[in-house]
Amino acid sequence: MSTAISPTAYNYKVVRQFAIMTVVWGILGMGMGVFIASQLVWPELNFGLPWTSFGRLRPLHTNLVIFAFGGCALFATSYYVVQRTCQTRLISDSMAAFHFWGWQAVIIGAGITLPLGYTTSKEYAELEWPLAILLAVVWVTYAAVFFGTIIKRKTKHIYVGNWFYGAFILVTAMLHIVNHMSLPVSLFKSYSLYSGATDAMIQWWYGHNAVGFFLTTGFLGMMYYFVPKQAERPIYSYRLSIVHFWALITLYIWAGPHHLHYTALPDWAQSLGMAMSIILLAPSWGGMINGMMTLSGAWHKLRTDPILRFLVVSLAFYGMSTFEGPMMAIKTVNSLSHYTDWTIGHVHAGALGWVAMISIGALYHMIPKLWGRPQMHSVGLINAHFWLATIGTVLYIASMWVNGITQGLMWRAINEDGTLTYSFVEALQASHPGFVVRAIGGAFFASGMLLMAYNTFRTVRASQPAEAEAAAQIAVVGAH
Amino acid sequence: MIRGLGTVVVMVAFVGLALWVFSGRRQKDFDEATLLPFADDPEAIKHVEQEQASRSNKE
Repeated sequence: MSTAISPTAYNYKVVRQFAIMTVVWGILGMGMGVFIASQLVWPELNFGLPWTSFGRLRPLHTNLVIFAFGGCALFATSYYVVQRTCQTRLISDSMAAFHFWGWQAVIIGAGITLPLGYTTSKEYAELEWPLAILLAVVWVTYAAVFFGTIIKRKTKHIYVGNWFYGAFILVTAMLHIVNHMSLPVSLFKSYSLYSGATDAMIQWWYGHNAVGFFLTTGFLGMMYYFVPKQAERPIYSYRLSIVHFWALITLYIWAGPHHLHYTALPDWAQSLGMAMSIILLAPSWGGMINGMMTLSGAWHKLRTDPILRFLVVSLAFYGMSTFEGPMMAIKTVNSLSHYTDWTIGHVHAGALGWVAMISIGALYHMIPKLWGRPQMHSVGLINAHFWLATIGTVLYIASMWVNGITQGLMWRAINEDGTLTYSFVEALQASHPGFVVRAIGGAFFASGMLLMAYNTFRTVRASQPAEAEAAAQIAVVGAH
Repeated sequence: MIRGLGTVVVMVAFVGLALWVFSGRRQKDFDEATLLPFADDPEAIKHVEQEQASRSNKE
């Protein structure tokens, strides 16, 4: 029974590939983050070269952590979850392989073009049109594999985690294609089809829903599978999960205008975005409570299980940043926080605390199972990783709160005659200690990824081919 | 007018969803679906079903 395409086995090959690349891109993307954070502490690290300047490396950092690290984590887990909860193999191994290699090609394209300065200048959508088209083709392939697998499922129900993954796939396709509509003028330069305030609104409709659907809905799909599985308890309320799903996807799509408060965007659109952002607190916390309460009566497991700790602490950070977000979307708060480091701190509370930590927890759960091992090589190293990640996140967001509020207050301070009390450079100087603490926090977080890489390497190396093959067999239990 | 209609449509959808979700008739389906993460894992399903039984005995 050594046939590689046995219909009685899951396609774990693509899951393993994406899982390994999650760790690799995590190290590179977070390492790039630490480097540009250090550039803000020591500007000499720009090296006086255009290719290594902050303005070009910052989009490379965001692309690497969001699309390379976050993307690979979502693909690995979604292929794992959809196969296991549908009890069937992916519909096509070759399409899944195209998805894997196509995605890596897009990321390598980003790694080459962004430092060279080729950019659409749209945040989180910087890739120029040839790469954007490749990305769209790869994405449609992914959608076909995912939904095709759901269609041929052996189970009666579609598990709620797959609903979240499905929404993430559909909406991301829509956002990417609409926001990238442009006229190419040369191989590496295109101009947006939209202009002025419309262009800005389309961009932040995209930008906020990249957060809402790429960085939230997809990872909630992860949460709905891995938290119950690791805690060995069913989700707290399946009913709540359905209300959570529909409420979240109905509301998120409207929140984009809060990125454009006090701009040329019509005032009514700003107020609508603010109101929708505040309402968004309800489904966000509903989901967080559903995840947390799954542990009710089993909290003692947190004492001994660092993987579960990763998952639960990620939910705590999710709850915190989904409270902070609606608050910052209120126009009066936004007038203080916008354009300051508070925004960067808020993003990283979500990106490090929620997205990265739940991905890391899910990977630690999944990697031994993918290679047929009882557990990771070292539980102690997982625990060390957990503390590095938690301390790193706290240092990062605390320093950015202090910096953000300092900057906001200094920028708006005026003398009695109406002139500005502080020059911009004075606010920048006041931010320097915060930049130092942020770089240290980021270095803590990134160093945890190195432990993970070593732990993963040892786990995979210990696996025998026969074990790994046996792990992929579909065990059908009972009638479902 | 059209904005008011939007609000009404969303409200009706939400109330309809809540009624659908909390109807007792769907209890069995949800109980099945909620076990799906464990269903293909002989060890886990035993574990979880035992725990569920002891949970419902207590109630």
